[in-house]
Amino acid sequence: MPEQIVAMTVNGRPIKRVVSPSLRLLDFLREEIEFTGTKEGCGAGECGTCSVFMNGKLIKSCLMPVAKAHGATVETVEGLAENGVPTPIQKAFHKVGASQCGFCIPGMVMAATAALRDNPRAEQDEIKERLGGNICRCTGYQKIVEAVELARDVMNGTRPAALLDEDDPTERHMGANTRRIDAPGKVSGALRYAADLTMPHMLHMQVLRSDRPHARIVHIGTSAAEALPGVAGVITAADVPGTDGFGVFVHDQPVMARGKVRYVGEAVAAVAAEDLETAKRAVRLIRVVYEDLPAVFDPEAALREGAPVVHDHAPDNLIKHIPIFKGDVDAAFAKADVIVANTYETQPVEHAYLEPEAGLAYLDADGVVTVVSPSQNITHHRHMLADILDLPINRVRMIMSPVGGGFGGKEDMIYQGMLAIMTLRTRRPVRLVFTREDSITSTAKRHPARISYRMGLMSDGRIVASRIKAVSDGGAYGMSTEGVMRKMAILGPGPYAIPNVRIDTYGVYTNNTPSGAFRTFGAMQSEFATETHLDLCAKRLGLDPFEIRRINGFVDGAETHTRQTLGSVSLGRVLAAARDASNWEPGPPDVRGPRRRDLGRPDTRAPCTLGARDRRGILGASGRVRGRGMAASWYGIARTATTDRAGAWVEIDDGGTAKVLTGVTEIGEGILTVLAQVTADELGIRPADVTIGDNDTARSPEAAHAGATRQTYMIANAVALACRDARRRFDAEIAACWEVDPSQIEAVNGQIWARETNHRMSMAEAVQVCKAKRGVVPVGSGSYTAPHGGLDPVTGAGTPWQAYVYGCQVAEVEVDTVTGEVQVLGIWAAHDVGRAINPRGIEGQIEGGVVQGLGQALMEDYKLSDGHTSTHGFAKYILPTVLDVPRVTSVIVEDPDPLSPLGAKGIGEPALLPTAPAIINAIYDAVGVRITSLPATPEKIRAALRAKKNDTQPCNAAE
Amino acid sequence: MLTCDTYLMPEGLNEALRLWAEAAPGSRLLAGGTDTLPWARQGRAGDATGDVHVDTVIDLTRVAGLDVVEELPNGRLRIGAGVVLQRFLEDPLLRAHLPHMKPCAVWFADDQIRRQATLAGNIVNASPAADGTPPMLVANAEVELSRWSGGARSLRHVALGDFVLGPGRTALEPGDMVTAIVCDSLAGYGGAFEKVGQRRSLVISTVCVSCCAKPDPDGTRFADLRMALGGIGPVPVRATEVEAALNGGPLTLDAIEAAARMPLDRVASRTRRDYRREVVEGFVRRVVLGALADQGLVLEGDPGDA
Repeated sequence: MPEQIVAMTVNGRPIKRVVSPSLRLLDFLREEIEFTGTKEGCGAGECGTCSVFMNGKLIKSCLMPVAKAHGATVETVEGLAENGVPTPIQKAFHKVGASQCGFCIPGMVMAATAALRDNPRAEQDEIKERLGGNICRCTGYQKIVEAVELARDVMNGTRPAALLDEDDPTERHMGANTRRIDAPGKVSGALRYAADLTMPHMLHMQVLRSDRPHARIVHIGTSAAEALPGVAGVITAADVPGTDGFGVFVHDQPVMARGKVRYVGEAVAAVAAEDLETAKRAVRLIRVVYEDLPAVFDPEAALREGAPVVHDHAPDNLIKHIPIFKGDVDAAFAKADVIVANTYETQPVEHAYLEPEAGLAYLDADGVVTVVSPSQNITHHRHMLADILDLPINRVRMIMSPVGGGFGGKEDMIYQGMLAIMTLRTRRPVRLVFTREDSITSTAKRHPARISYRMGLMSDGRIVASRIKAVSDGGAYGMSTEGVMRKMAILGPGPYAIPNVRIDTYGVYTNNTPSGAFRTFGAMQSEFATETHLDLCAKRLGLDPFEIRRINGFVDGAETHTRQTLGSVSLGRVLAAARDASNWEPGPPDVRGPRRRDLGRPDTRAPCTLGARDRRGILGASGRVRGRGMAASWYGIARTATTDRAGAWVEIDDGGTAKVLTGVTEIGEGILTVLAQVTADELGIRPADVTIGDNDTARSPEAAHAGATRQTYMIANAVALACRDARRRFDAEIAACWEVDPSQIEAVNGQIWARETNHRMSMAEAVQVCKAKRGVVPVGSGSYTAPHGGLDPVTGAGTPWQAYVYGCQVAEVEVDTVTGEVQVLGIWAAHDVGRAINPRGIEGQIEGGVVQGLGQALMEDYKLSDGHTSTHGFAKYILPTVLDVPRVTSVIVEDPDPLSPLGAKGIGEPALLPTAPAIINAIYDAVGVRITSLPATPEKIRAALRAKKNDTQPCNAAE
Repeated sequence: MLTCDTYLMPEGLNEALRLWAEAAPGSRLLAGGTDTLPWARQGRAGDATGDVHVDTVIDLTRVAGLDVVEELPNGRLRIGAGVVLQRFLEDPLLRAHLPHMKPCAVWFADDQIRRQATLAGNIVNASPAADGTPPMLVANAEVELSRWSGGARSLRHVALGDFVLGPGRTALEPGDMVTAIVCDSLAGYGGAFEKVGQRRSLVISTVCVSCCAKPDPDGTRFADLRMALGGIGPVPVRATEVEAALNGGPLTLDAIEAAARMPLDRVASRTRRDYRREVVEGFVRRVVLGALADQGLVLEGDPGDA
């Protein structure tokens, strides 16, 4: 292999290596000299996770052949902190909660550093421009920009440096803006994600993927690949030792294609070799003989008789049909004053977490098959993997590596099986790192849905009947489709008391990229339809959109569509909160934008005009029209229509600290910090005293997956119960020592005392007393159960959740009528979270959810043609940048859950629900065109404007 | 990924030209690399494992003198092939001579990429949506091509309009290397650039329009207005009919309105043709008004949208 000498100074260290000339600077930094703080998010210069300084200039190291850096001075994120002291920018990112999953953060910190080095007084516009090449998928950018401005002001001396420190510890930590306990490792680049891990004797894996949408595998020829020097193993479906098949509801997906391929991008074979280049070369030597089969790409076509069959077990291609009905819909339509009908379409959306999938598998010293990967559900993965490997379950161990964003996309076990089989075969550690293109083409998407809607109303605004039918493309494998169809159905009619409802959702097999779990799990699609449809109805009846929702909204004791009687319902409070926060001017949604008087408030941003550093001759607002829209939402907390459970162990530890062990899955939402706050309050210590054991099926009790907005609800309650158990044991010993009643014992912030006595000591001393004097280790365990009931298979009746949340968002947009571009300038988002444990974290979830909703509303679109995507990378799959996002005003509404110890509910998924319909309704308000098929691209809006002007039937709208 | 057997970084132009003349077929010249590296991936030129292998890469970033900007005796500018887009925002000489490049450069890719990406590379890549090509058409640019033949460097110039032939296709012959872009100075003109894509940063243009304009001394007529369109067909083009209609004519909104409808038939894209036609019409209006505003001339009653 060709080689050349490269020398450079990296973070002050002179480095010289003989390397392949094909390396990029990014590979050199990460693989040769192990500065893994620099991340690879896309490999094509589109995301900025790899930004480093070269000779003082910020560059994207994935676009830089290593030879270009020969002789250069390179600075990576690891080089910023001097002697381990974070820079003000790093501290500010920590303080304001600017990091969530953390994968984009090293690049963001570098871009922020570049901006302030070049101009220490950069204004917000300039800061945004300087961050315009760095994508963040979690935060919505608002807290990142806030962090840079805070750091700027501290460095300029215009704000005190103390603002970078933790706020003074309050007596109660639940409810405080405790800084994220996992942020320091994210802002410094020290946190190692799966692709950053190495082991001695490690092999590199590469996967051969199908280039056919549907084909029988006649033969896989692996001998040439196996014979290539450096290749340690080649595996196919024939090498699966146990029962091949994984999935969430039906185990229909083989580890590698078995007998036939069902979508482009499906794994067919995998190679492990001494180095990546050899593994790639071997993949190119594998010969697969295919016999193409007729394929089906449209779910409605797939349901027709005679359509190509994707799976033999489903000759009709139906994955799942979920019906829910109550009342008599047809009779109600007959009596309704108005009937409004329309059809809506939502597109497939890519999760686009910045961390592509990666994993490292090895056999531990006891021979246990161990897979380290950023999985959102290692509990379930271990179950499936034990069957696939035909091993006792305790011979399989899954360890969650830090998850660089998930959003549901890392719930499916699409590569861990290959890693496990390969490590068993080669008896060596094996690592697989996806490229961005691998990730986009092979992993699940948000289910696209085609939703027909018919709503009957009385002239006073009461909804008397809703008839909804949704057909959804599940793609080639079942994955989460059944659950997605269930949630789409249960929540679809919206948080409205409708006496007569019929909703049917159908998930269908096709030869498209599979659809799977994605933040809101189907609710986004059906609630989008409902919330845009209500705008049509409000217009028809001349009602304000808040008013039509107030008239119909659930109130305390209302009955849901599944005939569950609700307890406390916060919808009315949430609607009022959003209306008040946005200073909404009442009126029906009849294109009021041009005459509204509630636009352009200080809590909107200015429209983006690039050139903050060179502004001159900016044109006025000609051709640009503003408007506002709103939408509401509801969501159920934790697993749907099935009992949910989570466990935790706690030890009150030496020094007045605590260890918490639980199978929690931090995917960036901040759950570890929430658990530290809960533990601190329950035990009477500080969050900084809490150490939380990582998720590891061999070390921590089951707490199951990150999904269903369940972690705060399930795991925080489990941890609280475990803490209370430990405290019972602990307090009894301290009380015995002091000769007081245990009920007199109180502890706060590291101090413990007996009420109405002079007994008082530090928790550190108390632990010493408990262990050394009393001989008791103060441990506790907790298990929390949410007893949800299944749905009746015919009527859909049931109690799918015990806790519900409600949300409402107002959007303000500006539409450029020349280009059709939409800029979202403001979002006011009110959400019930039950009880706010970390308000700043909740804001972060809302801001991030809003921006994901904005992406789906306006730009994101996973495009397929005959099963082949044309959106392989971030150049074509368009994500919002910092220049595309609104000012978000979050309003937290607290309606505590009476059935759980802490009262907290959740926010992760529901934050996204109202955004897209609010934006679409705002576009209508501005320019009078209704987009019913997402995304509302500039071209679609222009086409609708053209149709409106020509007075023809709008191509994308019907009223 | 782009893989190679040999990666060369010549420091002299003649050396670079000689290496290029002798390079194995399929070898590549590389400047900023910001187009070439993304091109060499899955879904684009990459094979099943996402690689493109070439024999030799000749990296031009260390070739002495390639990043020089000179004022030529004939009043034209010679912009070395190594000049990056960011220079059009920062270099006082370029700012003064090419005012219409500033609004182009500020929209170009992102802050990091435009410090590596060269104008010459953007032109050579010959994307129909290349943002750098329309402003250079406006500046009557020629591409300076050098080659090594008979032990010496030989030079020729090709008008930019004759150089870019189609998507990814140029008039480059084997052994040719772009060593400079030679163009008019537009000092004293107002400049404007409009572009639309799917978002606001790091985005490929669906349509872009560049314009420079100079009113006559009393500010009532167009003394010289030039315009070029990108993203509207296989190659960016000068909007000669707009120029002909406006030049010498009165500085009025009616005149601009009428001119804005003229270049619509130039939209020859295979996709989104109606959309592009509408955007071109709106953008023509905006860039003319913008270029005048850049000269401090704001026309009253700006009519706005269609």
